[in-house]
Amino acid sequence: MRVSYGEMRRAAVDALRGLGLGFGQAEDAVEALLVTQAAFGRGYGLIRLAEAARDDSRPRPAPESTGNGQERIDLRGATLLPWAERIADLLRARHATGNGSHRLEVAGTAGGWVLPQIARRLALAGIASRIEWAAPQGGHPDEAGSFLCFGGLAGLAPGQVMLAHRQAPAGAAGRAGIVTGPEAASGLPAGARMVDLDAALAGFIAEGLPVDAAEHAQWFAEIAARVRLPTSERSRAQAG
Amino acid sequence: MTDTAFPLPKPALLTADWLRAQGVEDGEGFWRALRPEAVVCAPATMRAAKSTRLGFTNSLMRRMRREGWTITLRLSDLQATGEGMIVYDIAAGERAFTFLAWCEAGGEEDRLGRFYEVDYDFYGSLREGRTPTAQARDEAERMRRNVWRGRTDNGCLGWTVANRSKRLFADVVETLAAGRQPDPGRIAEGGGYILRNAGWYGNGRHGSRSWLSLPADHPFAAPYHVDLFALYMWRLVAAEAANTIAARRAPQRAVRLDAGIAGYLGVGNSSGIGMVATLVRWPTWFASYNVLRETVIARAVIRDSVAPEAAARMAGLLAQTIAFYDRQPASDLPGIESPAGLSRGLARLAETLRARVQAKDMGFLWRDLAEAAKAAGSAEVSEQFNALLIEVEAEFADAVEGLLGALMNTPRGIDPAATAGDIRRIIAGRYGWALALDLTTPESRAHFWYKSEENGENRRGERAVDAGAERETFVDVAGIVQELDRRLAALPAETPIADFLLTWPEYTNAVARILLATRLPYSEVQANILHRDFLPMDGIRYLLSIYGLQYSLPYSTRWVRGVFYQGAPLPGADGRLQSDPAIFPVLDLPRPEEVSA
Repeated sequence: MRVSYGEMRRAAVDALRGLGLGFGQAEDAVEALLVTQAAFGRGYGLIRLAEAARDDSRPRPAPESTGNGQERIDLRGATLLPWAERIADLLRARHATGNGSHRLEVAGTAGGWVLPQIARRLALAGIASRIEWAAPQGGHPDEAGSFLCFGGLAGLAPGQVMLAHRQAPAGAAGRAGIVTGPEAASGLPAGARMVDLDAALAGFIAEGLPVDAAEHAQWFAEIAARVRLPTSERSRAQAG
Repeated sequence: MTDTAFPLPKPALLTADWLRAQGVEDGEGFWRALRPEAVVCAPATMRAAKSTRLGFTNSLMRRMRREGWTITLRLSDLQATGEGMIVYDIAAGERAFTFLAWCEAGGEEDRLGRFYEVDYDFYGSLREGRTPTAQARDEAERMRRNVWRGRTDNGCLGWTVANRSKRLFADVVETLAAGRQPDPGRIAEGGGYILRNAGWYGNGRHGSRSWLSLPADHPFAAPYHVDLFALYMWRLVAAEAANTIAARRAPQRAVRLDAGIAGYLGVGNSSGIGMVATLVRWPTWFASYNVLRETVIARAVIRDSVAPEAAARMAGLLAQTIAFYDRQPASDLPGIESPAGLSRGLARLAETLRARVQAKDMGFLWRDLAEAAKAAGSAEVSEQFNALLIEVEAEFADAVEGLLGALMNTPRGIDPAATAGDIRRIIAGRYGWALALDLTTPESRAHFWYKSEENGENRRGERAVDAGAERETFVDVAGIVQELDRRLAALPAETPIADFLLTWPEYTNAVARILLATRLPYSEVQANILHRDFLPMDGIRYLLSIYGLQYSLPYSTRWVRGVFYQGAPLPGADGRLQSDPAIFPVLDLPRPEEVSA
C-alpha cells in the first residue's frame, strides 16, 4: 500500500495524541516522525518505541547545567520523538544568545532514528552539529544502532546529514551527546554516508511512500482511534 | 512592525512601495482605515460575512476564464434508471485532468449526505492527466464498493460524493422527458439546485496526492481551488445527468435543459461544526484571508473621490444584490437578520448613493456609505456593502489576491530568542480579549469538541452530559492562552521560551500562534468557543463566505445550508467559460412557455 504525506500527517497527529501527548506537542512532533519515515522508514518504529516507553507519570524534563558550559537533559526513559523539536529549539536559543560551541547531553532516552532531524533543524538555522548516539541496551528491534551524525557542515545543504556507525563507549547507553557550533565540524569519519532528509521528505510529499498496510493500520489507525469517541444518534446530532 | 496609524503588525508584503505601485499614495491613511481586530475577528462580524470577489469560487472561475481552461464532455453513459458513468476532460494550460462521476440509479431515498453514511447517489474523482475510460470505470468501482475504506493513487487529486435533490431532480428529468422545460420558479423555490454536495476527500485522503506537492504554477495550487473545482464539476454533472436520463427515457420527445436554467442551477451544500475547528486550526490561513479582504476595504474607503463609472457600477451591484435578497428565504433562528431587512438597508444605501451622484458630491463617497451602513446598525448590511466595495475595487482586489500565497507562507514557529517576558507582552497586547474572559464558570466550559469514531467527524459534546471530555480536540485558544500566561508569570521574565517549552511542550502550538500574531493581524477568532453561548454558525457562515457561498441559511445554530455556483458561468461550445462570475445570480429566468417553444 502507498500512503500519502497528507494522509500520514493527519493520522500521525492523532496517533501521537493517542500516545498521551497533548495537541500542541503532537503537532510539534509530527514533522520529526514524517522526516524519519521518509528518510529511514522508521516512523512506525518510533511510534512503537514511544508506545513501549509510555509512562504518563514521568517527571517533566528540564535542562540542567553540568558546568563548563555544558547542559544535560534526563528524559528518564522517554523516547526522543516528542522532544526532538524542543531540543533543537533549545540549542537554537543558546546560539541566539551566545556564540561559540555548545554541548548538550540527552540521557535516559531511546529512539535515536529521530536525531538526524535535530541536526537538520539546526542546519536550517545555520548551526552545525555533531550528534553521538549511544543506543540503549536491551536491543529493541526498532532502536537505531549507535552512530555519529553531522549536520550543517560546509558543502552540505541544510537538509543533508552525514551518518557513520560508531562503537558507543561502555556505560553510555541511551544517550545523545550533541555538540553545536564550530567544534561540531571535527571528527567526521572517512566512511560516513550522506543522507538527504529534504530530498526524502520532498519525495514523500510528491509521491507518497510504500508502506505495509497491516503495520500502517496497527500503528496509526488503531492508536489514532484512541482519541476518537464512540458514536451514537446523540453524537451524530452533535456534528451540526 | 506596528505604529500609531495601525497598532497591529503590518504584513511585510504590504510595503509602501507596493501600495504606491497599486495607486495608494496615502499610506498612513490606508493603515489608519484598516478595521481593528476586535471588529474583524468578532463572531458577530463573522456571522454577517459575505462572499466577495476574493472568495475562492470566484478566484477559481476567473482563473479558469483568464487561462482559457476547457471542459469537454467525453462520455455520458447513463441508463434510463440513472445508473452509469459521466466523464469530462479538462485542459488547464499545459495540464490535463479527468473528472469522472459514477451515478447510481435513482431510488426512493432522499439521502442527507452525512459523513457517517456509506451510500451516495454520485461518486466522483478528479484525476491528473487524461484517464482512459476503462481506468475511470475501475476507479469509480473502487469508490462505490469501498467508500471510506477505498484507496486510490497519487494520480488522483481527490474523491468527492454528492446526492440528488430527489424531488427536484426527478421533476426536472420527467419534465425534460416530456419535451418541456422545468418551471424556473419552482427550481428557485426548491433552493436553486438539483444536486447536493456531500464532501471532498483529497489532500492525501484515500491515498490521493498531497496538495502540498502541487507546484506553484499548478492550476490547483491556490487554496481550496481543487476542492471547489470538483464542486463546479458536480454542477455540470447534475445537468448532464438530467439531460441524458431524460433522453434515455424518451428518445424521441425529450429536450435538453435550457442553457439559462442550467446556468441558474447551483450545487446545494450543508456544513456543520467541523468548519469552526478548521478556522481555529489554521490561524495563518485565517489571518491571510482577512488581510486580503480588509486591505481592499481600506483602500476603497480612503478614496478621496469616486469616479462616476465606479459609482454607476456600485449602483448596478446594489440593484442586483437587492433583487437577490428579495428572493431569499428567511431563517427562523433568532439573531439572523432577515433577507428582507438586509434588502431594505441596501436600498437606503442605494438611495444615498443616487442622491450623492446627482449632487456630484463624490468626495469620500465610499467612506461615507460604509459609515452609513455601519450606522444603520446592521452587521449584514455593513458586510454586504463591504463585499460590494471589493467588487468595485476589482483591479486592486486582484492585485491583493496575488499576495495570498506569500501571506500563507508567513512562518509560524518558535523564535529561539524569545523569552517568557516577550510572550507575556504579546499576550497582553494582542490577547487581551482572551485574558478578559471569565473561564471559571460552568457555562464558560460548557462544550468540548471531539472527533467521532465515524471517519473522525468533528462533533461537539456537552461537558456536563457527555463522556469523553478527556479526549477533546483543540479549539480553546482563550483557555490555553490564559493557562500559558499564568505559567509564564511564575518564571523570571528573561527565561528563554525554549527552556519553558522543553518542560511544557504542550504549549508549543500556543506559543507559535502567539508569535504569529506579531507577524500578521487578524489571526484569531476572538471568542470563547467552548462557551455555552458560542454559536458555531458564526464561524461556519464566515468560512462558507470565504469559499464563495453567496447566501447561507442557518438550519440551526450548528448547521448551515446554502448554494454554491448559482448563476455561475458555464462552459460554452468551445469548452471555455463564457464570462467572469457575477456577484449574485441574475434571476431573470425565462418562463416555461418561452423556453419550451
